[in-house]
Amino acid sequence: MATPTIIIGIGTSGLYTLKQTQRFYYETYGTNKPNNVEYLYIETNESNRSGGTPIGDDIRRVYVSLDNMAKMIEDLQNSCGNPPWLPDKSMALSAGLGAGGIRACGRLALWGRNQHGNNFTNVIKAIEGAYSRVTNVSNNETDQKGKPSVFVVGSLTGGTGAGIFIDMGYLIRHIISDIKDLYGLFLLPKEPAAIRGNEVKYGNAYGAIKDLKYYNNMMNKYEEKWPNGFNKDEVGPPYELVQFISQDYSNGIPAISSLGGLYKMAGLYLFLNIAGIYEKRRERLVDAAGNSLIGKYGTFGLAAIQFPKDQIQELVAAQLSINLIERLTDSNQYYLNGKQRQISRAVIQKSMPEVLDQILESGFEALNVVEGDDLLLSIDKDAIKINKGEIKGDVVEYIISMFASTRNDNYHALVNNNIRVALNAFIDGIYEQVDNSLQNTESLYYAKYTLETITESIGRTFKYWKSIGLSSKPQNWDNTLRQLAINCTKKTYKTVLEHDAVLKDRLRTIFSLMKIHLSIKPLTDIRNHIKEGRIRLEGNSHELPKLQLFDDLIQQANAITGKNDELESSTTTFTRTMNNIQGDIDDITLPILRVYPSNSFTTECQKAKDTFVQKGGHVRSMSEVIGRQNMLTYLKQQLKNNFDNELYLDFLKAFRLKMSTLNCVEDFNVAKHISRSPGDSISIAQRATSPFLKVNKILEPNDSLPRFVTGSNINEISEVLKTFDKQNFRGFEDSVDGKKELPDLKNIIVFYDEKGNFNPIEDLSYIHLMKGAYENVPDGLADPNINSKRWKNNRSAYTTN
Amino acid sequence: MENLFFNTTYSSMQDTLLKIAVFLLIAGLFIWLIHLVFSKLLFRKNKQRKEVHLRLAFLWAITGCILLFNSYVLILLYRNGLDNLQWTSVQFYLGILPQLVTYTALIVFFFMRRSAFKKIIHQPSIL
Repeated sequence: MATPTIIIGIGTSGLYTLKQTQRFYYETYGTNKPNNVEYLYIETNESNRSGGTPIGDDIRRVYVSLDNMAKMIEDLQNSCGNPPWLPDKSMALSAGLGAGGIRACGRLALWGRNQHGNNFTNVIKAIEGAYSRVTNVSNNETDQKGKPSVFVVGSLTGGTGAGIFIDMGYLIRHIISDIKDLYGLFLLPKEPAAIRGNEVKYGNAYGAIKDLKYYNNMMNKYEEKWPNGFNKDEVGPPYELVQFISQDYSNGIPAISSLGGLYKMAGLYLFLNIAGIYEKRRERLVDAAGNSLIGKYGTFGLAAIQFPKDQIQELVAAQLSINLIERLTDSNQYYLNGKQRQISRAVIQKSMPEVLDQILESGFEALNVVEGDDLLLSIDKDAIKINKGEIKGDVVEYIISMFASTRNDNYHALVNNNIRVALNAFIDGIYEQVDNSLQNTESLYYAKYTLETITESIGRTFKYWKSIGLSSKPQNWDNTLRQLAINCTKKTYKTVLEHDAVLKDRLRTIFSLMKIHLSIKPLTDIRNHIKEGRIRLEGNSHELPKLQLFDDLIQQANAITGKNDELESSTTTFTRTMNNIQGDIDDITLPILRVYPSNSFTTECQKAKDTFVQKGGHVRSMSEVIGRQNMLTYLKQQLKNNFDNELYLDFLKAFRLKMSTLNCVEDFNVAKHISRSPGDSISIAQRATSPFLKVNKILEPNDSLPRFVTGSNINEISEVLKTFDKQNFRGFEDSVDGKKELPDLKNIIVFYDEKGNFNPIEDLSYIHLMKGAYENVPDGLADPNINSKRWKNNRSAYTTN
Repeated sequence: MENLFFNTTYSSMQDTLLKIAVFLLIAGLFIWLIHLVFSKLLFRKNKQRKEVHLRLAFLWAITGCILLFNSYVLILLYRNGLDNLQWTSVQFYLGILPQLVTYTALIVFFFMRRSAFKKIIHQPSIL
């Protein structure tokens, strides 16, 4: 049974590592995580959020707010017996974003509460929730409650991670009483070329290691009164094993060039643990711990040989997404029935008057019925009454009274009170017209021009109405009405016995003109809404679109292709994605050797794209992304949400799915490739035998520590190891302990070598530099108030001296 | 009656004026009758305003009346014999003055109504 696992990221580095873990899992299994695994991250910087994979994001965020620090400090002074580690208020106020690199502020974030809530309780609830979810899943699957393992991952250079990592250890043990293992994976800064300017990072890391050493000593006790009122009093280390990794290698091989590369390797390590190597590691680690061969500190080396199928799919999906967005935002051309055509405003303008007539007609028709009464029939009856002489008074005055704006019991009043019906019909008609344009052409510009032309046609219609004496002003209408009424009494065609029909017709004409007069105001509102968007107008089933809507859609769609720089640098765009993938592929310091059937990433991407176009057609369509969904509704919905992020994910997910369905990138047998050209593969496997940490002590291979190769097929792993053996590389043994089969781990072979039995406070090769950064105030600090004591306090968060 | 419709001999101005009045009256009667029939039969499915139908029907009624008058003139010529008609004599023209006046009046009336009808259709007016 797979062990239920909770991975908790602390601080920004924790989040980035979790993202990589989630990514690796998604690449391999198509889901973000197994059901019995939970990702949590605890962060003090509100702007840091997880990006997710194309199928979404399963990393749960626990925001620990540091707003109003002074109040938080005061609160803890009263409720927790004024713990000595609390930062002083003046120091806290200068922290800036998040914990501001001050360890005590990070710890304060975990303990404190403010207007955003009680951070401590929130963290406990999040861990309890994750615990409940992972154990419930395992109960369902096996009817046997599995004890969970927890990994805490983060960096010890900032304020958050270095501040809370020890509390987190004890807190997790307190919440999860039946915990199987609690591991820490913490990132350390690499060996500095010069420490100047990086004193905070190195000082924090040193302070954190020092504190950890203190609590790992069985002579020392963790003794705190927690904010929930619980007096925690525990002897023993916070973690079973803490693994440290950095961008350095112990054997002098060049370091991983970027911090992103280190997150990737940490993410790969955590992914492998949830994918299946955890149990294998644990077997060995239990033996090693029993024989005192590992201690409380560990590290590891990790390298892989990979055919980057996922990156190829992602890059091509990003290219296809850009192609589709370019179609949507092309101002000159659109596609109809697969053929490219020019957007001609003249053509749109030509068809629009007729369309507007239909829209107006539908609105006017809607006004003919008020509360079930057909007003036209009623007018016909009135006409017959007039002709029969059944009315009192003058005919002209009678007709005027039927339609005058001055009365509240006539047709004018009935229609005026019901004018909303016409407005709804106009709005729905215009919406449908624009919607049809967008649906047929998939061009935002075409739809925008359609809407623009509708407003122009409304303007022209107004001019015509004005020319025949109609306006929205009641006074004008009453004057016009008098003339119309007089006209009704002339030439009645009684001689040809058509006087009834003629009068009915004339009264109906007056009624139509009255509807026009009453519709001018709502139509003006509609025109203003479309052009300026000042008023919000909704029809029966749709909100009237504005020109601004299309401008926003075009602008934002362009932004996620990377055409303009309006999006925040943290926002993912397709161009950024492509650049990141290319950067990752080109990073030769990363211990991942990329192999391809054609020996070129670019060629593989082109092949994949060609296959996609061949099987899926050369014109991209929104139906590939949203299926039968309405395009305008979809885009408007995305605009209300987080447009760039939602659209990015939907497009990428859709094209990736289609690429998989069309099998555009076939799996590649990495093992066979290694057998054919073992040279580069051996050099990458050798890198795995050197841990990601520069220590002075030689960490000799030990049979009791995990050291194995993992891939999708155990026979293929054996083949690889035999090939290596023939080339005189015997870093990994072809034995049961030296191999781990993970059937779904296609296109990659991973080499893992775990090390232990060292003490970072003594063995880290640059620990003296870190100690110096911890103990001494750097020269020339901008803040003159920072003296030696305050500097040291900022680098400390636990009372361990 | 035969004298009234088929005699082309001029007798007196008083008779001629009387004949003109009778001819115009009959033409008017025919126009009304045809208009009455056409107003019920023509343009029933047309979606234009009723007044437009009736005015159009009226034009057709005048046209119908002119056609009927043409038929009458043919019969008149046939009955009198083309060879017997004194085309160069003023007396002859005075004798057929009622027919000439009616014919001209019908055509002029047609174009007057047509002009009014066109005005209604083309002018941007609701009155």
